[in-house]
Amino acid sequence: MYMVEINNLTKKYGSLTAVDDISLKIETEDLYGLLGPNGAGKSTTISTISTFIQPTSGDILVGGHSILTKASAIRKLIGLVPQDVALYPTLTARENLSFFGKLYGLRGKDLSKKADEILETVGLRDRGNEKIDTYSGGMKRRINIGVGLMNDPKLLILDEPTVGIDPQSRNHILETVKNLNQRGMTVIYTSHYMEEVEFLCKHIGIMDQGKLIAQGSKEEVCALAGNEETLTIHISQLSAQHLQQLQTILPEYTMHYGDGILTVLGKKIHSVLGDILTILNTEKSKITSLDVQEPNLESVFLHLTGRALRD
Amino acid sequence: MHGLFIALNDLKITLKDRKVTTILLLMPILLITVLGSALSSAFTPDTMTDLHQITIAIVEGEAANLNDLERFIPMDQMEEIETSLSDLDINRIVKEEVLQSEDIKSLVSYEVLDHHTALSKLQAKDVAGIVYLPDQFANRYIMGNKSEIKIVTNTDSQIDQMILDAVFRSFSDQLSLPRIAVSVVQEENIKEGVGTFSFSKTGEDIQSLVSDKGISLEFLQKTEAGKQLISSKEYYTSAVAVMFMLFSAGYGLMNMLHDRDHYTLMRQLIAGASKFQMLLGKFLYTLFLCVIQLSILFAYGYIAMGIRLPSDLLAFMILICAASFAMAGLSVLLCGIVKNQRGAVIFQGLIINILSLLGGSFIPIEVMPKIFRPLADLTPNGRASRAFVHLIEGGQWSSISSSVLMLFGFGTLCLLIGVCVFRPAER
Repeated sequence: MYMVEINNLTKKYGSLTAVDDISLKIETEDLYGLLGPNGAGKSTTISTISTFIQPTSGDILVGGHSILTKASAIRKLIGLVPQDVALYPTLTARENLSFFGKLYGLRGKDLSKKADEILETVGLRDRGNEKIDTYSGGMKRRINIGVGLMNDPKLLILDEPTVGIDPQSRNHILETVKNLNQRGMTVIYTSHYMEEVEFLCKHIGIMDQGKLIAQGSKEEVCALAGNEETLTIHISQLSAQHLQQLQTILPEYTMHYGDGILTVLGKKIHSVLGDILTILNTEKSKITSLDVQEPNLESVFLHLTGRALRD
Repeated sequence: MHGLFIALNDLKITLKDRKVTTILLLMPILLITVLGSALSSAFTPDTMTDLHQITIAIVEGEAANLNDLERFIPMDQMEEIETSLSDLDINRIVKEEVLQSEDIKSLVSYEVLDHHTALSKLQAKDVAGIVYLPDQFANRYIMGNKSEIKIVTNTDSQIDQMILDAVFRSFSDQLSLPRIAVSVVQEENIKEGVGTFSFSKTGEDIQSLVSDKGISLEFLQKTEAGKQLISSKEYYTSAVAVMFMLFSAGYGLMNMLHDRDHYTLMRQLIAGASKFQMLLGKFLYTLFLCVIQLSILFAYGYIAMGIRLPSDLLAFMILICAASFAMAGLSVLLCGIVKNQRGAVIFQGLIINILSLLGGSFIPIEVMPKIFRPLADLTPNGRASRAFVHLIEGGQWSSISSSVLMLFGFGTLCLLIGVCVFRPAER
């Protein structure tokens, strides 16, 4: 039984194709991760699933209802947590929950009880009567998720819910999402943090430039990288000349440098580590860290696109 | 119910926001106080002379007829009277001595017309007023009967009326003509050719002036039932309150843009609010806000500034609702057509100022160039402001019914267009 079936979805804005003919299926009670860099088309995809925007072509079934014909039925099934903090900052957390609860049809004691329950779930019971303005970024994100839970959704859609928050709040959010899924809620979780998706999700889809370039279970997707390891070196500066030199002596390895991080993808990284460091030592810049990882989603993305996810 | 919840939520946010309440309530209170007090002299005839030149129509009175006097005056005195008749020719006196005097010539120009032509020109607002000179003034003067100069103005132009009033007061005073009575007729509905008038004695200051000089001058002011001149405080309470209603409409738009930009609109949609309910929310929000705003501002005017409240309170409340309805409709229209903050800034920074200027919120419509004056009635704020002024002057429902209809019509039209063009998902 599928909670979501996306069939040949395309969304264009003028000449820009935000989502390009993607198809995927998400099972009921799955925790599905949609991974991709900024601008990959993740937000457009979930906005379409949420019935907020109409597709240019294709269709999406949510709980068996088409977004083209049964949008209102779909809205009753879903809870949406947008990428931005979609709250009224001058109202308290409880007032925000009450407002959206009223729109969901809750009244009186039921509304109050539900608001308490949500505040408990997101760990803000004792701060519920404070204005959102006074919250930290992490607390805002947590109450942002809380509003998405006001209607006990069958499908919870979270769009990059951990952007720009402290590790404590991030962990809290990840644990909350995992618990909700364990209680039977289907979750779509979009992120460009591969470690979050790896930690949370049972199934994963990777998007890039509007296309779905890989999908399957976590193991299936990781296998696409062909057991390649990822070497990550933090180095403040690397000239194009040295990067070219590295690429020349190690042609079978995929390399990428950006934001002070050199990423090298390939098999048996340890065997060429000395060669790489020799060339990097000729740079005046200092190496601040070095890490070799087993095949992961980052290496899959690098393998498939030749670019790092953070790009 | 969704629309009501959205409206109440927005209202709660607005009323909690000190910056917004400052703009919507404290700013107009400040402006009413400053403009109402500082420009009070601009509402007196003396100051108007620097600002205004008006054209009036003169309807001449019937010339004197000595035959009617033969029964009462000895024949030997008739010749003497005949020679002095030209001194008692009021048509000549008014035209040549009054209206051609250096001071008044720069202020008032005139045309001599018959009654019907003069009335047509007044209706078309080609002349500011009609001065009816009395028939057989000399006969009446000699026989000791009172005469009246009647002045008809359109109440749309209070300043014109005051200028004429001042000129003919001065005339009656200077000539010490005990038999001239100046009547000022305010004819609110003159364009329809309808008007019920009552006569009330006013102008006690003139009475006292005249009695000091031993002159028996009867000053009659013909007014539409209960109508009185308006003060600058009353004018600016109406004008400024209505101007700031436009800002309330702007805040309806700002709330919608916030909802768009911060995805709370998306959340409302997913929570089951339809496009119509979202707009209804903004409509009700602006409506409530405007009603609250007008009530507070007029209450302030009444309590702190000493303005009069309209005697027809029902009409006043209906007008508040109509003006608020118009602004609420405007707010929905803006929600439909403005998609970003830039559009909102243009509305709040430019369009509101233009509408306010045309509507007479900055300077009274009467002192604006003639070409702009008709535009005031085409703006919802101008129409509302003038209707409030009419009511404060003592006007009744009949004097504002067309404005109320216009405001409801404007609001409905804006609402319909807004609903048609609004797309919640567009950014």
